[in-house]
Amino acid sequence: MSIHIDVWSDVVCPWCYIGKRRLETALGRFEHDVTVTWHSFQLDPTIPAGTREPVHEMLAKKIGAPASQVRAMTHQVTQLAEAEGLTYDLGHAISVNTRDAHRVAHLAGQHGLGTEMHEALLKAHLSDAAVVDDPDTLVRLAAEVGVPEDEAADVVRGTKYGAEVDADIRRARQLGISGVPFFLINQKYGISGAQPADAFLNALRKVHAES
Amino acid sequence: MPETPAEQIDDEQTPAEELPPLIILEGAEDAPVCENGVCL
Repeated sequence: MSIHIDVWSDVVCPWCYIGKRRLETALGRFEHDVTVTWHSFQLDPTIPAGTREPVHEMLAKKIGAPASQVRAMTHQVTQLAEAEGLTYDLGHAISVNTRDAHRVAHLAGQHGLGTEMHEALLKAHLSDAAVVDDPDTLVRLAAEVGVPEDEAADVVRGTKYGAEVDADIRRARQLGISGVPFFLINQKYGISGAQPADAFLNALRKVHAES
Repeated sequence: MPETPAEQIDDEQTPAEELPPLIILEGAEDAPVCENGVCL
């Protein structure tokens, strides 16, 4: 029996990128085939479209702490990312509404490039401090992973795949998902958070043994 | 590995009994997530 993993993630989520790497490490050590589908989740869908703010300032407002304290707090996640081979630049990252990025990710998914697009968006925001609601940036990232540029531009300029984003978020709500990353194996088993690779591997082996 | 039912949610479209059980992994409760826009 094949194994399929559905993953809910937001493209501005530091733990999601770390979780993605850890899952990939586990998949590299797992003895059987696994397919993965990335699903949309918005950590803050209330951010007005077009609003841009440095991540540290946004977080400082949310938790009521000075930006200097937030910088110290994000140091930990940056170090953990480094352990997974990821270079974060949260000091320059810009908080945006991620709906358009997710719409483009769904287009990429239609081309079998959903994982590649999600990777590109995570890297753009977390490592490259790219603004992932900028239309030109979204089109460029999509084209770089192999999505036809004209299709990406059409999606970015319009409202296509909004229903798919909504459906992903609705399903997440139905599953009780309040935080990401969240991993659902074979529509049956849920795993929350950026688990260590060994934990993912143990879960995969358990599911395979039961199938 | 112990298992526990997924958290029941208030949603008219999906009855709670259709929700998948969660595999609770060792240390899973400590696995970091981003929630409510905060990822610290």
